[in-house]
Amino acid sequence: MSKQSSRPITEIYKATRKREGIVTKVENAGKYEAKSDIKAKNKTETKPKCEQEVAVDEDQELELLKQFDLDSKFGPCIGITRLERWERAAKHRHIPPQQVKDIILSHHEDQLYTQCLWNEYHM
Amino acid sequence: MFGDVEKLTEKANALLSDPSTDRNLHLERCRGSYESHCERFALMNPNFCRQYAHLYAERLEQQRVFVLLSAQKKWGSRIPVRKLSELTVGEKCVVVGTLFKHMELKPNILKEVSEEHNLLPKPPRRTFTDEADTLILEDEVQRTVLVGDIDVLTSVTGVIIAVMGEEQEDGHFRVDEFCFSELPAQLSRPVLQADAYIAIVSGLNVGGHVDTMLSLQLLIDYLTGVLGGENDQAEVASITRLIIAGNSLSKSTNDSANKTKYVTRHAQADSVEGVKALDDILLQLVASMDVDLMAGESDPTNFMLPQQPLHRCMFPQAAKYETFHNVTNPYEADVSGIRLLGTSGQNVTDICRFSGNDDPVEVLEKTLLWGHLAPTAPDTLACYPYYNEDPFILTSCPHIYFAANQPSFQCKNFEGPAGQKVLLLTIPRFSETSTCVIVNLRSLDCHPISFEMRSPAADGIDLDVDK
Repeated sequence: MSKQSSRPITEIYKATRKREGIVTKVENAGKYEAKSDIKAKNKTETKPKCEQEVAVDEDQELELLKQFDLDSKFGPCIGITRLERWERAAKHRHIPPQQVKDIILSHHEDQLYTQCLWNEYHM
Repeated sequence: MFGDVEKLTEKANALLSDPSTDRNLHLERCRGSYESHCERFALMNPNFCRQYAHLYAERLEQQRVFVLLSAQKKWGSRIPVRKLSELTVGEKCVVVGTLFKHMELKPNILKEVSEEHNLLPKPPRRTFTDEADTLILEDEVQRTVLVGDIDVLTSVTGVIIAVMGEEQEDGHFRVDEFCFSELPAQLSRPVLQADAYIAIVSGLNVGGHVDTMLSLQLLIDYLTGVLGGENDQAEVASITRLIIAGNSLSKSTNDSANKTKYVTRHAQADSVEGVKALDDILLQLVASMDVDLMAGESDPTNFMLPQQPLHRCMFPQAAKYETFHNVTNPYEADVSGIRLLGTSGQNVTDICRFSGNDDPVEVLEKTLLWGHLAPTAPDTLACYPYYNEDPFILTSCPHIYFAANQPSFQCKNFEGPAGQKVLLLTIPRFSETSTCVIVNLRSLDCHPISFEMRSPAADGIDLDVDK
C-alpha cells in the first residue's frame, strides 16, 4: 500500500490518446512497476523533422474543425457528423468554410475528424 | 346531392316501392386522379440517437424567412430586426424566435421523482394551463421573458413568432404586436365536371369492449352500394375514396405491459383478434373502392409522429387488392386535383391540452396561421428527432384540412390572407358517434352521415311485453 501511495495517481491510471483518436484508460491498479520502467514509457521519442511538421498541420486542422463545431451560427453540433452539419449549414446558406469540408473528406475514415468534439461523451 | 330535402322525399318513395325490374342496371364507381405526397413523412433508416435541438434549430431556420417576410409586410422595413443578444433597453425592434410556454402544471419527470415533494398520484387533468404560465422567446443562443400584448393562454410551445416591442429595464421584452409565418400559397383548385365525393371516417375502435359492429356493418354496406334504393346507390357510386383516419383498433387491444406471465402465457393477444376483425372489414371495403388507412394513437405502429403506415402483413386478405393503401399519419395527397391534408388528431388534442383553446376547429385554424402542423412536437407530443428537416412545416396550403378522432363533427370555411380557401374539418370518433363525413370535391361542401343505432333497451323502454 505504501509503495502505491508514493506514486501519483496519474501514473496508476494513465490516459493515453491513440492515433485513431479514441481515448483509452490504461489501468495499472495493483501492478507494481519500477520507477525506471515508468520513465521509459513516458519518454517521447524524437521524431524526424518532417513528421513534426505534419503533426503541427494536423493540430491546426483539428483546431479548425473544433472552431467549426463551436460556431453557433451553424446550429447545434452534438449527435450528427461534421459533414452532415456542414451540408445543413450550406443548405441554409450560412456559407460554411470550404476548407473544413476538404479536411473532413480527406480524413473520412478517421473519427477524430468526422465526428463532433463531444462524440466520445454519450449524450 | 346528398342533403337535398326534395330528393330525400323522392328517395323515401323509391325505397318503399317494388324492386326494379331492370336487371341490367350497372353502376360503376367513379375514380378520380390520385397523387400521394406522404414521402416526407416516411422514415427511412431512422436514427434515434439524436437530440431534439436539431429539430428546433431547423424549424427556426426554415420558418424565420417567412416570418420575417410577414413582419415586413405588417410593420414595414423601418423597424430594425435584432437578435436577442443585440437588444438594447428602450429600442423598438423586431425579434424572431421560438415561443416557449413555461407551465407549472405540465407533467415533469423531475418533479415526479423528486423525493422532497413526495407526490401522490394526481387525477388526470384535461388541461394543464394555469394563470401563472409565462411565455418565453428563444432564438439560437438566448431566451427572454415576454410580457405585454400577447395572450399566454392560447399560445403553445414551438411556434415561430416575430414580436415587435422593446426591451424593458428588468430584462423582459414588452410586446406591442406580434405576427406569425405567412400562410403559403395554395394551388388553384381544378374545376371538376361532375360531383365527386370522398368519405372520411375515424375512430372505428375495432376489438374494444364497446359493440359498434352493427353501425360499422351499416357503414360498409352503405359505402359498397349494397344499402338503399337505386338512387342511393347511384349517389354512393360517386364516392371515389374512403379515408380511415386513425384509431381503427381500440385502445383496449394494446397489450397491457402490466399483465403477469401466468395470465398471458396461453392467451392470445387482444390485438390479434382486433386486427383480424379489421382485416375482414377492410376486405369488404377494398373490394369496392380505394381505401387509405392511416394509423392513429391506439394503432399498432410507432407512437411518435409521423406515424408510419400499418404493415401490410397485418391485413393478409385486404393487402391483395391494389385499392388498399396504407398511408402515414399525417396524410397529404391530391385527390382529383384537390390537396388534402390531415392527421389522426394527436396534434390538435395536444394543443387543446396545453392551451386554453378547446374548440378543435379553432385549433386547426391556428395551426394554419402558425404555419406548422404540430408545434407542440417534440415538447409534449412525441416526435422523431429530425436533424435536417421539419416535415410538419406547411409548405403549401391545402384545400381540405382535417383532424380526426375529435369529439364531434365540425366544419368551417377558412379564408387566408392571400385568398386561400380551406375547408377545415373535424371528424368524430365512429365508435362514439357512428358518424362518417362525406366531402364534395367539386364544391367543398361537407356533411355527416350518421349510422346511429337506437335500441329500445338503451332508451330505457322496458322490453318485457307481458308484465
